[in-house]
Amino acid sequence: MDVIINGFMSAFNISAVMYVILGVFTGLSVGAIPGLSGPMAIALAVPLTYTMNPVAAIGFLIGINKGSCYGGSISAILLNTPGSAEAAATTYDGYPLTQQGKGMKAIKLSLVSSVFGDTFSTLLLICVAAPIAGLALKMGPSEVLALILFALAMIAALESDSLAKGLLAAAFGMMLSTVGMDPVVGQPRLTFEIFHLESGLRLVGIAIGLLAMSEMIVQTEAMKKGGKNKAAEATITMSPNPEDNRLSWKEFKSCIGTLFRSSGIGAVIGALPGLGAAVAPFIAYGAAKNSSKNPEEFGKGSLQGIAAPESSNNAVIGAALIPLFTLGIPGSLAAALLVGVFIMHGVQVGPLMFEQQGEMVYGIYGTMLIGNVALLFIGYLGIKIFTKILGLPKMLLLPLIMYVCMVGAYMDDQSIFAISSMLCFAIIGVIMRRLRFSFVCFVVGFILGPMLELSLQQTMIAFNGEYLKILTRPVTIVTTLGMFIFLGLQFYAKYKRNKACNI
Amino acid sequence: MRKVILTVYTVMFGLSILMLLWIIPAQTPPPIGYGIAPSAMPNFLATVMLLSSGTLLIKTLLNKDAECGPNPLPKATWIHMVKYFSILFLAFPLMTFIGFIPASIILLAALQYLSGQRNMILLVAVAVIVSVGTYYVVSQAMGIDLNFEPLFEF
Repeated sequence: MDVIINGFMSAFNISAVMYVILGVFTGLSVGAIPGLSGPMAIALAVPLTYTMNPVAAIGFLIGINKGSCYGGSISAILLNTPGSAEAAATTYDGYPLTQQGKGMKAIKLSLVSSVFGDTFSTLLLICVAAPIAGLALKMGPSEVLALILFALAMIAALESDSLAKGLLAAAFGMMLSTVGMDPVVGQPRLTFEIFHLESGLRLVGIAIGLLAMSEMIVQTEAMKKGGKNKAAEATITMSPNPEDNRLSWKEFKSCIGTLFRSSGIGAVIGALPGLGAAVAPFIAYGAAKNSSKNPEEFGKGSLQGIAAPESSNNAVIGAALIPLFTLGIPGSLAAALLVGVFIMHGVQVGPLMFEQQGEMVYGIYGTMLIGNVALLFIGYLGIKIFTKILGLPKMLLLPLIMYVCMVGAYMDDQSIFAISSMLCFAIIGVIMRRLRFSFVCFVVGFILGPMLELSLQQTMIAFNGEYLKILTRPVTIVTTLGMFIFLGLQFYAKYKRNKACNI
Repeated sequence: MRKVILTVYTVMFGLSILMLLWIIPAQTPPPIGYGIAPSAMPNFLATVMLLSSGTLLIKTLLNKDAECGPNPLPKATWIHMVKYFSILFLAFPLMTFIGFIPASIILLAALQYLSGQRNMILLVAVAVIVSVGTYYVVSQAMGIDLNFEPLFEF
C-alpha cells in the first residue's frame, strides 16, 4: 500500500505535473498538423528526457501520445484532413458537422470522447497490469520465447501488406539488433571493425531517422510537387446559434453507450501487439453504425460517428502499455519507443518492474491520470491556438523539424557517427515508405531481437539438450499452437479474399 | 513499380545469401561451447530474410499483374534525396571546422531555401534565432557540450 501511495505522490510533484502538461501541449500541437505523428514527436522528444527522472520522462512522452491522438482530430474535423492516421475515421462525420457550421461542437465532442477513452484504458491498465504481471513472473524462458514469436508473427501479419513483407521487415530489424557485443561471448559481432558499433545501434537514432526525418523528406517533396504551401489556415465557420457551438449534457448522454463500447474496442486492440491505434477507430466506427438506431445518419454529421473513433483511438494508449509493463512486449509503436526511455533510465521493462520498481510504475499511472485531466483542460482552452498552428507554412516548419532531428540525434550519443547513422536510417525510411514496408515490424523487431535471443539462450540452457521436455510446458505449447492457428487463419482469410476478387 | 519492387526483393535475397555465406561467418566470434553460438541468431534471421524475400520475389514474378503502378522511387525522388541528404550529411562535420552556431545557421538557411523559402530576411532571421536559441538551450540548460573537436588537424 505504501508503494502505491508513494508512487502516486511522486507523480503529483510540481516538476512531473509540468512535464506532463508540456507533453500534452506538444502532442496536441504536433497531432494537429497533418503529416506529423505522435510516435515521431516521441522519437524527437526522447533525447530531451535524459535529465528528467523516469516518472516525469515517461509522463512527458505519454502526454505527447495522448495529445497527438486527440490533436489529429482537429484538422480532421476542420479541414477534412486527418492530422494522424488514427483520426481518419473522424473525418466521416466531423467534416460534415463543420460544413453545417457546427465545427466547435464536433471538436468539443472529440475532446470529451478522447478523454473518456483515455481514462477508461488508464483505469484498465491500473487494474489489470499487476495481476497479469504476477502471472507473467511464473512464466519460464520457453514461455517468453513462444510469446515473443507469437507477438512478432501477429505484428508481421497485421501491420503489413503481406506476412512475408512483415517478416522481412521484422527480421531486418532484429538483424540490426544483433550488431554490437555478443551477450554470451562478450566480443564484437557484425561491427565491421567500426568502434562506434560495438555498443550497438541506438533506438533513438533509428526512430528519429525512420519516423521523423524520412517523413520530412517525403513531405518536402510532396510540398514542392503541390506548388505553394498546401496547409491553408483553418477557419471555423461559426453558426450564429450558440447551441451549435457547444456540447450539451443531453448530447453527451446520447453518446455514453457508444463511448463505453468504443473504448472497450480500443482497449482490446491496444493490448494486442501489432494492431495499433489506426485500426481501432474504424472498427469502433463500424460497430457504432451497426448498433445505431439511425445508421443512415452516419457520414452526415452523426455525433456517435465522432464519439466512436475518438474514444477508441485514445483508449489504445493506456492499453498498449499492458503488454509492455507485464511482458516487456510493446503493444504499439509509441510503446516500443518508450522501451528506449526505460532502458535509458536503467529500468528493465517487464513483470519484474512491479517488484523492483513498484513506486515508479504507480508514479507513471499517476502521470497518466494527470495527463487525462491536462488533455481536457488544455484541449478545451487551446482550441483556437491549435487551429492557428494548422496555418504554419510548411516551408518554415519542415526545415525546423529536420534541424530538431539532427540535434536530437546528436544529443542521444554526442557523436557525428550517431547523426550519420540516423541519416542512413532516414534514407532506408524513405525507401520503406515508398515500398510500403512496415515501420512497426522493423522497430518492434529491433526491440524484441535481444529479448528473443536471451530467451532462446535460456531455453537451450534450461533444457540442456532434452527438448522433449517442452511437452511438459503447457503454456509454451498452447502459445505456439495459437501462433500457428493465427497464421493459418490469416492465410485462409487471404485465400478467401483472393478467391472473391477473382470471381 | 514492378521493376523497382523486383529489384528490391532481389537485392534483399542477394544480401541474405551474402550474409549467410560470408558476412556472418566473417563477422561473428567463434562459439565457446556454452549457450547458443554468436552466429546462431544472425543465421536464423538471415534465413528468415532469405525465405521472405524469396517468397515475395517468386510471388511477384508469377503474378504478372502484381505491383503494377507508377514507379514509387522515380528519378525526381532520388535527386530530391541527394539535395537534402548532401546538406544534412555535411552539416555536423562542418561544425567541427566553423563551430556549432555558424554551421547551424548555414544548415537552416540551406534547408529553408531548398524548401522554397525566398523571403531572405525571414530565412536569415529564423536561422539565426533558432541556431543561437538551440545552442543555449542544449549546452547551457541541458549541459551537452557543443564545442566540437576538429575532424582533421592542418
